[in-house]
Amino acid sequence: MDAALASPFIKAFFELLPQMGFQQVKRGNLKVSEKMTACLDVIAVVGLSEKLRGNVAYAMSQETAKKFASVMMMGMPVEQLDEMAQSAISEASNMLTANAAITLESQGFRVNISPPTLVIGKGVRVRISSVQSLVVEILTEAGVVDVIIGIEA
Amino acid sequence: MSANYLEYFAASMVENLSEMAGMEAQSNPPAPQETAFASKGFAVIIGITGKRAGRVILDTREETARKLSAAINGEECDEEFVLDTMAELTNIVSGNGITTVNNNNPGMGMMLTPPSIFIGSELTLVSPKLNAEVVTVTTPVGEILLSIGFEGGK
Repeated sequence: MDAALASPFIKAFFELLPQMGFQQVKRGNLKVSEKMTACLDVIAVVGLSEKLRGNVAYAMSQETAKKFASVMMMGMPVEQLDEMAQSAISEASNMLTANAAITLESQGFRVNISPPTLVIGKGVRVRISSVQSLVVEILTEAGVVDVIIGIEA
Repeated sequence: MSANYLEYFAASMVENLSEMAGMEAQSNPPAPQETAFASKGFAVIIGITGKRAGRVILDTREETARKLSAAINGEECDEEFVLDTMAELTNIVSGNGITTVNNNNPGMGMMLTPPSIFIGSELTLVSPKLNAEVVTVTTPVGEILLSIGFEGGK
């Protein structure tokens, strides 16, 4: 996939996370992922259709997911990844992908997004695309979020 | 409404298993599904965009996925081939289902996103804010769950 297509998804973090109450957003490593890959334990996956087809997944550890949800809920302590915390993570993935979709549309790529599905487990392996995907680390005070982008265009 | 939709998808699954794998499969009546459910270990997720956004999940055991892929391809398959086969089966079933939905409901303009696949021993799948229904399809190599969920009311 064209690496330039990844940047709207990264830009979305820098635009939206400060609005959600995050103080620290940094870009970490970028790597190319094989088709099937081990990934962190909490994953929100959102599908893309129309001009660009693919999936984007936001993967983080349980610990990061709880802290991430806590920041989104104005610092409210999150001890368990309960229904409310799951909903917060899911909503974040929806907002980030929608923001990226708006940027992509301004670049001539009309994109519709599907509702997020949250996958929670241990030792999860994932394949979000039948082609190679890009994994970009986003570093926040809640921990690392791996943004896995697989676009088949 | 989604229960009706699900019947299109379940019928397509039974038909395709017969055509592609030569398997007699049976679909059971649809049932409402909780927001969160435990995966059997092998899940294919396809998103739905359009007037009614949602998602389709095919969920089964890894062993069933392997046996089903072998039956469809006529030989034992390595993991990558199992993934390709199950992704394509879900794609075909969802494509048939969504085409029937679009044909019966002009203006819905529903489209599918490509499949993503998750494997793990203790997976929980959560679809916040979706109303989902599930059908169990019984095959000679094990059960396949077909879940379809949409945003907003039934």
